[in-house]
Amino acid sequence: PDDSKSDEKPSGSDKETAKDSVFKRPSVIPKHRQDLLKWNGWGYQDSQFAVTNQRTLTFTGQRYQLSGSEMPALVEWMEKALGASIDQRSPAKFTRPENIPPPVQVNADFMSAIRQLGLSHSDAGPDRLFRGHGHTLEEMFTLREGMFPRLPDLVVWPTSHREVVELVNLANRCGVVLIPFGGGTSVTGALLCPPGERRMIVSLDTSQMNRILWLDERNLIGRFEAGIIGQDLEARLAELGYCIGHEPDSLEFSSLGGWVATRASGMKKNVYGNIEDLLVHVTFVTPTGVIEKSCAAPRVSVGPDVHHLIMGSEGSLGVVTEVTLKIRPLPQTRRYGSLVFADFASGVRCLRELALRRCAPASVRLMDNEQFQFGHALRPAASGWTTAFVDAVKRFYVTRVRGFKPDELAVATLLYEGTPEEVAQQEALVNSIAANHGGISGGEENGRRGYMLTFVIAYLRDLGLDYYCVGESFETSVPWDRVLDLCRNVKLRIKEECRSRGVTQPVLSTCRVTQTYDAGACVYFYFAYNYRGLPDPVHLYEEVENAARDEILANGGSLSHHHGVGKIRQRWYSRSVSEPAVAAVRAVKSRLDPNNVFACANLFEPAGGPDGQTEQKAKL
Amino acid sequence: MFNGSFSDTWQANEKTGRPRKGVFEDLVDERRQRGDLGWVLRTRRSVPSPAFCAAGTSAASAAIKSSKSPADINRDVLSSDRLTYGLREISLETGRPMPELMSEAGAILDEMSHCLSMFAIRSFGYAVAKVMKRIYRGVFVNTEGITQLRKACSEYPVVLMPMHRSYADFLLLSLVCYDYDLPLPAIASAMDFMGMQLIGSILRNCGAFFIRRSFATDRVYWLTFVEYVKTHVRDGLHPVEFFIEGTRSRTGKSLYPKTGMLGAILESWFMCEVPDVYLVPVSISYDRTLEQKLYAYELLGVPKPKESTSGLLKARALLDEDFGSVHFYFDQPISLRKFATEYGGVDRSVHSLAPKVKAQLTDAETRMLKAMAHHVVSRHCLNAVVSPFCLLAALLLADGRACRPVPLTELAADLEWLRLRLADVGSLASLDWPAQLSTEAVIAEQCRLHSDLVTLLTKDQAVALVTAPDSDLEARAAQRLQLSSYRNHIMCHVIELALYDAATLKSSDGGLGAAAVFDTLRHLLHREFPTISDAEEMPDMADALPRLRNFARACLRPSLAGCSQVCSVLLEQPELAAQSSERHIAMAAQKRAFANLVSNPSLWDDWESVSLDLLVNAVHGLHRLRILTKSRGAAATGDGGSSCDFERLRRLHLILDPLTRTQPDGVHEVPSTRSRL
Repeated sequence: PDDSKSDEKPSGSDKETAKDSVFKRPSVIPKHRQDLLKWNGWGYQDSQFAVTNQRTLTFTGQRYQLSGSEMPALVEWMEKALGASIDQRSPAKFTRPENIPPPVQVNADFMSAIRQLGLSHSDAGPDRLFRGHGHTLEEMFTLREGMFPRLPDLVVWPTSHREVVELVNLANRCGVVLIPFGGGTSVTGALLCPPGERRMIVSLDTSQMNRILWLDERNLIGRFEAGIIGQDLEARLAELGYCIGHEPDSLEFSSLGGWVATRASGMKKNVYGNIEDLLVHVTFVTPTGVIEKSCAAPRVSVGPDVHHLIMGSEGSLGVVTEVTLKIRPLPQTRRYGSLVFADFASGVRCLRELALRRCAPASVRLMDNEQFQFGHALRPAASGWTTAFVDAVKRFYVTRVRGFKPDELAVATLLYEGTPEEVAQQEALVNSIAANHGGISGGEENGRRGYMLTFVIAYLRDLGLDYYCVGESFETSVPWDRVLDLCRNVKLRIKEECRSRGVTQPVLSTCRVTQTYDAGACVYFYFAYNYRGLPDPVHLYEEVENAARDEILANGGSLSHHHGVGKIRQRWYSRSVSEPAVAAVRAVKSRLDPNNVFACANLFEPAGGPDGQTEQKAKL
Repeated sequence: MFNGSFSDTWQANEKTGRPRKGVFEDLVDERRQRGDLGWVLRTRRSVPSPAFCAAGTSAASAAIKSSKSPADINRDVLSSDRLTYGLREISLETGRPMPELMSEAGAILDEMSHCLSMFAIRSFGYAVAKVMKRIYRGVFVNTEGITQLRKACSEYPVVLMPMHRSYADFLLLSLVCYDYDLPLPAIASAMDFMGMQLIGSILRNCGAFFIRRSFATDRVYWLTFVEYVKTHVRDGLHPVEFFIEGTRSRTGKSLYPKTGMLGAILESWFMCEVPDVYLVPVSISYDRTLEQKLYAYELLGVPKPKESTSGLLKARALLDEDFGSVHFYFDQPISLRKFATEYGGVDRSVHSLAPKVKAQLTDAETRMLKAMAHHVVSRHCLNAVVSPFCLLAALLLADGRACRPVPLTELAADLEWLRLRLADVGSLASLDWPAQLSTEAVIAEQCRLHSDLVTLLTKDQAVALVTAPDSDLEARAAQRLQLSSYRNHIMCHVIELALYDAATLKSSDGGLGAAAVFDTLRHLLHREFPTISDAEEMPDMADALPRLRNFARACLRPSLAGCSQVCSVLLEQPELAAQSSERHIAMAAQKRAFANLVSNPSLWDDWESVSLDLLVNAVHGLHRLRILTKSRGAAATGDGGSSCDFERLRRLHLILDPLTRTQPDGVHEVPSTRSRL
């Protein structure tokens, strides 16, 4: 791999070829993230839900399809679904950059060595703050209301695999902790600094390792640096006529290395596969050396698959530097669709049949009635009487002619990709299967809107937080025969746990099936409640989420489908995989990282305390 | 729970205009004031249906309905995954073809299923209301319990778990549900009724479904039954009602709980088919039980008359009698989920690995099931309203007091004392004590109501038992068993003290130590008194009043006498254990007891040792203590044959001996009224 220092200069100058510029173009997200992104909320600074006048909400900026449009029904929905009032604001506290706590541990040897190596680094407050957290509710709340007990003491931006190797060796030698950072979209507390850590903590930001190293069009694979983020990856490949097809909801910000380290899943996995299906080769730097396979063959039987140790390691074993992924030619056609079912149960049965016949389109998502209602609330003001008229006709057909009840029906959104013939054929088949379950087509526009909202929904939590509402999402995967019971039981459990803890306003508790597999499905839950008048909303929220997770596990669901374990789900890890399995992973950890350089404490607390001192003493 | 005995400060319920008494209100009064026709024709408003069904994710049926016809229910049962899977398993094992098994299940279902119809409920309710007005002074219901039940019905599936003391239980309970606009229950009933012409189908139309008494080995039946019950729980439209005691208690004591039905219900939560289940213990107390006399003869071994319509018609003489009042106490609904959390050790996720259709309770779940069953029985006892006659019966029976007439003033003083002491201890919170009457007047009133058992000799101002002639041993015993059934109502409130007292009695421990004696008695009596706590430790009750201890001891003595009788008969006829079933041993003991009574009718406490129920429980106790052990062959065939550890049996007999004597070594004196008050 080419990792000359000249990469640090902005590329795209006239001298380079068009292809080079695509390969080496800098990321959409700047090195200093605070220049573009919110420091205490989701996404871009210019994009947020905002109140225009008394009764209307709008979405600001120009980045999204929803940007600029007014959503008159949203305020009413917030009042009805959450008991929130537009007059009751709970604004965030403002933290000045100079008030961000300074570094607490500085390792002089380490500092002089990285200066000597010429590694780009910063100890500025905002740089460190941005890399000290992910996006769980608790983290957002901490940003709005207070400060984290510990932040990284330094941010380092290596620009190549070789620099990472040097950095890891250096950290191992100097007794410094490294926490890899990709896109910062973790929702498991994985990026939080362990408060008990007494060594210097360095955030290893991979964002400047974002090149496409090569494409192999004959084998349809490509080699990428691990810091490349989803939107850059797809945009650049698209210019070359290819795609990866891996689209997690965090696509705009999350990085390839993060996908690998957390076993990510994308919404179009039915066509392209999840990260474990896409990954052909990975280079992984650990304190005891670099792990990689010797070839890029499509499948091997050479002992236990080490890729599966790396995927899901969540930063606790080492750092991903380069990845070879499958690439696909861009699909000729992309078509949206939607289906309306009398109720959620019929929808699930339809999805089950799609999975059974292995004909699910690139993406299919089934929303329950509450989410359908919510989607409705996000509708922009009708642009003219014709639209309103067409809506009325549709509503008449669905509710009167078909007899669907507006407070029971469920909606599925679909995304087809392929050649026009393939898509047409698939759509016909899907519609006929849906008809077996009483489903009717809801039109392409509703489907398109559904997917468009994917990226906007994440912004909604910040709006809620401004009005005493906390919300969070979590996911699971579950065998087909348990999907319906799990969805119902978990939703009700959330409501009951909230009520029993003194939440008096209505609780939003809703779910959707987002992935189908041969043997089961992935289910996403959203829940939110109004905490006005309650003393400790975050603690309450944690208790409710823990109860919900207990309920999920009791109902035969998994600990996580793709978010990971991180810190917030550690208590169930051992139960989920068995004691010997944890012991095996621990053994791998202590062999690969004997000094606990990667001391993020994800999956489990390291044996012998955060800095591994007991372990070291034992060795001495 | 409410504290202190409620005084019957009569007042009208502001909303309904019904007369209130403490936490209760009376249903019957309104029926007396107004006609019944309007009542049965009225529209029931806002009958709650559980929100979990409306959550839109009901797995049971495609179209979520607020009601489901009995035929729909049966169809869902037959098409359920669980039943189909189970039948296929049987088919593969036995080679019987599926269609045959399916039609067998269909036939079982036809025999079992209810046919609940509002029309039937209304028409039958009309008749029941008429009878109710005639024989009962009042039917009292705790309104708070109804409010809680209503709320429970609007959240999760509800299971009504009433005490079982009379056939009237489920009729009245359905009537209460109808009256309070609650969803009508589907009632698990024994097959006995099904044979009754007309009545069988009336009950079916009123929501009764019929289950066979024993079907442990019939797998098709078991599968169909469980799925039928679970379908009701999953749908949540009709509360399932069943009797945890399995059958009517003939003795006034709680019966050892049966877990089969509760197991099926709990399974639907263990397998996560429902988010939660509410169990609602319902205590029912009758001032006088309709079947009182029949029960006494059944306990003596005179066969129960088969339920028949003509039998029912003959029983109409009862219509002219006064049966006092009935009290329903609806306990606070128990959330199964919360109970499991507190109980601990149940992890539903262990079912995650096998498909849902392969449901089977784990050991931890079975333990919880048993604990739950016992908990419900304890709640029954704790909440049951106690009539003054129960105290009166207990006092008359204690220490052979009533072998001659007891002066009214003496009895009144004792009754007053007992009432206050039990209220002090807090164990008897629900005494139905008419506040405005003097104790003497209360006694007189009770004597009128129970004139078949006790009389007030107006001339002597004394209370005497009504006894049969000495020659008719059976009739005498029957009288005695009837009276003791009232004392038994309060046994759950004194049993702990009685056991403590027995264990700490110096002469009884035979060098074993109090804790060991306590433990032995606890196991020996575990069936006789299912409310005895499972705690290993002996409670410390040293500060109980000696007089209360004496009273508790006297209450327990007949049970211990029964146990002693069983021990004696086994020691005298060593071959009995090896050859006979539990019932045969009990009958031999009964024979021995009768023989003793013929020679010495003044053996006061032995008059209860002729109750087969008591004796069978004693044999069970010996099994529990592993003094009797079922031999291998016998376990398979199901009847008879145990090996007996005679050495331990003798030792047990020695422990029991002093405890069954009326004046045990004179350690404690017999309660004397004058000295205390």
